[in-house]
Amino acid sequence: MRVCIIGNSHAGALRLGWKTVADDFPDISIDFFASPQRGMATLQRKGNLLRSTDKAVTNAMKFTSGGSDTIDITRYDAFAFIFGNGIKALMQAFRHHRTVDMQGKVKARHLISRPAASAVATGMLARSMAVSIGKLIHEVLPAPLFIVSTPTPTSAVAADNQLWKDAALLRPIMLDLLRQSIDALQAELPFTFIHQPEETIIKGFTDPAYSKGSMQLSQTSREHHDDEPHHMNARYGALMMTELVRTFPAGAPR
Amino acid sequence: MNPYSNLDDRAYWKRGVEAQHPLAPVDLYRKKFDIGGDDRIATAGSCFAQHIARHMRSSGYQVIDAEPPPKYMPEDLAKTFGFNLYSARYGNIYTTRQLLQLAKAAFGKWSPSQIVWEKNGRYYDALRPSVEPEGLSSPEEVMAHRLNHLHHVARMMEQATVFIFTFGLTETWEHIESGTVYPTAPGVIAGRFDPQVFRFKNLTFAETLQDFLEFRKLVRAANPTVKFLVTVSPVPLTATASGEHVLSATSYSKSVLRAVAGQLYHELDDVDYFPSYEIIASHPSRGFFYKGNMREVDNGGVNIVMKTFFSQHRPAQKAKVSSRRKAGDHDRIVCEEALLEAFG
Repeated sequence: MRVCIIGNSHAGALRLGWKTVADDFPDISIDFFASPQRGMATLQRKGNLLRSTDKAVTNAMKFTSGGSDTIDITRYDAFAFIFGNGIKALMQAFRHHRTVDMQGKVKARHLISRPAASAVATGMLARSMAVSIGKLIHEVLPAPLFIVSTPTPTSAVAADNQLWKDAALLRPIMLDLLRQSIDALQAELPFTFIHQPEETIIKGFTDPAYSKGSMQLSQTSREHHDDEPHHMNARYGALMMTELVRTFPAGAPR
Repeated sequence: MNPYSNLDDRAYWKRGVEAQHPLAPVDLYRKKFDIGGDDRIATAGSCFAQHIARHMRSSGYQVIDAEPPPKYMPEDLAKTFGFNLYSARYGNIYTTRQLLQLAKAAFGKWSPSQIVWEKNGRYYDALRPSVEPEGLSSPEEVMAHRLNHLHHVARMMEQATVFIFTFGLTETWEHIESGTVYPTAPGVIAGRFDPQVFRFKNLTFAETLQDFLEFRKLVRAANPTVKFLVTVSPVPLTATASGEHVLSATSYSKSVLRAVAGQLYHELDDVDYFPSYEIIASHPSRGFFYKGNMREVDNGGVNIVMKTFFSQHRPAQKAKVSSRRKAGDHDRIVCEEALLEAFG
């Protein structure tokens, strides 16, 4: 089974993690194509190929895939995306607008209803790069699509960021909204969402053990600094990749 | 020589109307004061006022948005939740009594009665029932939302340099004991109509005028330099509970509103009147700007209205309009009055 993973800097952890668990899944072959931040938003489809006209993105794709700057959709049996989908993005979406049950230490500037919050979560997912690229792929073939959750930051993020002061309170609410948004979009684009395992979470944040030693997505492959809260390490990547491939028929435990 | 000698063309029917193209009024409106790119504009009123807010925003005016939508909320849904319609999420304000109530509540000088209406286990702010189409989970949540909303309304009224209000109706529904009025009849969106508790109210000229004057006084107490631009919606009533024929009821309502607007304009330096009603509803336009139901105003009519307005108030630099907005919301107007038509 050939799988294509398309993403941003968070693809780095998945790549490093995959190296450590790939031998457990000999029937699965994975190619990674990644570019930092929103680079992959420049992908366009020409026939069966996805390519970017942005030189930096093209270079990043070559680097992360090991030589290819285009994605031939027909070469793969499944596609997975890792961009800005997950709790972190939802937290940012609700920076100034919160429901009454989201009111914790930090009071929201604007109160919105739960139906309005659901509309925000669904709107955010619908406009995400994962869904946009997924639609391009489905114009060519109805391959299974997977969206891998962006990691929740570690608690270091709360040191100077009001947004995360109520992480423990907000996490279950955000997860509920995320699930609702996933369900709401299934009719438009069927996909499977790979959630961050709750075992990696402590009081609303990712356990720092999954962050220490995380690597930058660059050709120099440097480590992130120690208190970098957003990117995770190979251990985390291995966990998420295992979650992902176990949803494939070829990834069933032996 | 007589008082009619040497007047401008606009003073004579023959030269001011008959000789003009009926769809392109000339010199119909002369501004009393400037409204420019530096002004902070607040808008409120009946559903026709949504057109004014939208066009002013897209023309680069600083239209205050005290309650902006959350970042990722799709444009069409945002309107459904009362965002992007006016300068705050108060929904349509059809009567001057509603406007006055809003200002009094925002400045903490009054509290309405029967605030929470219920429908199918969901709860609605009776003073703006359309802004939460699915309602809220409890009366307490309604009150929390209402407090938050009023806080933003007060800030908006304090910050505005120009307040644009479109008079919509004189007919309203009143809580008998307290005099609180509501934008919709109980039972239309939520709540239950009990004739022992609520009654029909058709505001008179004197009441309409007094309400606006009191509103103006309240806002000026917090914001002494604010100016007002008033218009009258050319959209007829969807239905009347007055017992009259709906056409006669419309004629009464619009006449009262036009007369109040005229009196405000003539007596107060800080109130200008903009003749959107005349452009759309007066007979020289031959009903051309109405849609097939002879009630809703089409985009051509709105464009003429705004062109007339902008001929006196030069638009600021053209605002960037996102492609998302361009595509989706060209003329989508949220009007709970239309519910009467749908379910009436």
